[in-house]
Amino acid sequence: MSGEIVRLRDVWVHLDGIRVLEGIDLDVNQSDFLAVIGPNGGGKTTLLKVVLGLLEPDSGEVKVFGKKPCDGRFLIGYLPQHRSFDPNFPISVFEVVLMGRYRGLFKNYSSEDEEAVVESLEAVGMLSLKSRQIGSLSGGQLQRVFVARAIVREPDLLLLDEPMSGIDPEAQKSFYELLQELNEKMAIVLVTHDIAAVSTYVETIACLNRRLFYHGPTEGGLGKLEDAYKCPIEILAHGTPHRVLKEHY
Amino acid sequence: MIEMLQYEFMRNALMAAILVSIACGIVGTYVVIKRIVFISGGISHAAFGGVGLGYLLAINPILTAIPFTILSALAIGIISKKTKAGEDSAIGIIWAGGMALGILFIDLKTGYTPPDLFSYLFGSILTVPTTDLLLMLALDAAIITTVALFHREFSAISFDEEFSTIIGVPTRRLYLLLLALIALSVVVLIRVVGIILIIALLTIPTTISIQYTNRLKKLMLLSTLTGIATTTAGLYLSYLFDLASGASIVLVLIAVLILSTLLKPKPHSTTKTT
Repeated sequence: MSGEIVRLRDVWVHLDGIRVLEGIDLDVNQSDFLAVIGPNGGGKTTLLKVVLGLLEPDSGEVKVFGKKPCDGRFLIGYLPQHRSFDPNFPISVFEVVLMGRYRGLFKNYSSEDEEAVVESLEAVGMLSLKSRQIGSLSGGQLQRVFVARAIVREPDLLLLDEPMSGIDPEAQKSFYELLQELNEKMAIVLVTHDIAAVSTYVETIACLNRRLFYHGPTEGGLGKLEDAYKCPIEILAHGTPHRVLKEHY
Repeated sequence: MIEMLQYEFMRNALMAAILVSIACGIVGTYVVIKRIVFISGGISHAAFGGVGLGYLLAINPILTAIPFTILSALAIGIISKKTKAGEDSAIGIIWAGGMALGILFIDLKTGYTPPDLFSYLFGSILTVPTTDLLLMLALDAAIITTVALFHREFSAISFDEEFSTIIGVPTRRLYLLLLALIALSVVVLIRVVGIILIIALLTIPTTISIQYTNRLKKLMLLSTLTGIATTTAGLYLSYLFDLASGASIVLVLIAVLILSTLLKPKPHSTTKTT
């Protein structure tokens, strides 16, 4: 079973005249766990925004669940990198997650929606904080609540933009375990500039610096990333630190 | 206080205080939490063009202010999102443009400054005619209905616009609808505090109330009640000491805001746990 979820073919994106993505081909299939790593400014967030249909590529084909991104994105859960909300915003953790169940104009949230919120808050271990005002949480707690918001609509694909930022190293391990659990139900794509954060839980790695170097299943591991980073890099992988990826081609 | 109510203009003034407080409590909550205070300032000043249009066409300026202010609000929204001008430039353009049109319209019609123009600029809660009260009631009803229908979308776009887009909220259109609602509440407020002071009533009641709750519905209710209490107090002071009503109301609001900030017990929402 390899249901196709995302299919990008020769996607080019320019932002304000600067080339950000160059001939990207990408396939994400059901139950994949893909990490896209690359330097800051390498186009990682742009790539996610193309998949979400927030950015229209200059050329190339983008299909999400076989449809245009803006028609297919309702089956995607998204954890944005920047959370620029007002910390005094009058809203509880529960209400933030409930927003993830939005189904359209004039459609009230049902008791089923509320149960889904309880379930996803439980899955991320944040149920006990459900009545707290959103701005009163710590960075790691917020991250978990926003993951709950992303998974509450039971998506088939979860996109995570720098999910480990603001999470201390000990908490990262349990966060990866959470992702691994979620991966049983949905495909996951995470992007990060922090190679150290990419753990052994990730099945597939791609390097992105305008161009995407896809490494397939990590039979090797982390290695020759210099082509993407354009500089020598030091590898810190959890668990099996001496793996090597195939050369870029 | 009771003797005040013997006069019809006083009963009308109290009614006006309640009607403006409803508009401020509900729409002001979004203005404050979505941080669009200065967009609202731009919209309220642009409303002067609508008032001037009323003088030009010799009809009730409140009536002409409704479409004019809604169009100005939409113009700010569209210019700031569609062009490179950016939000604050859009506010400046519409703010001054609306006022300039108002001055031009009045000039074209009369050639001199009409005596009651002052009341549209600075408000005059003691002279609100019954027909305007009815208009304000209708606008309040429109505001309440719209918020009842779209409160899910309004809070989603206020909290996180990008995420709202992804989950299928028609973000752009709802944002413009919210600006149109601000325009309606501006029109409700013109008679009471005047174009120049409107922004105080759209922001201060909610700024006072947000200290006491972190629930949106409660915040709207509390802002409305704060609005009623402070406008009534301002009205009473202006009656007692023969002061300008709009200015009295705004100064009472600011006094209450300062007092409530000083007397506020330890904040309940900012305890961090790590």
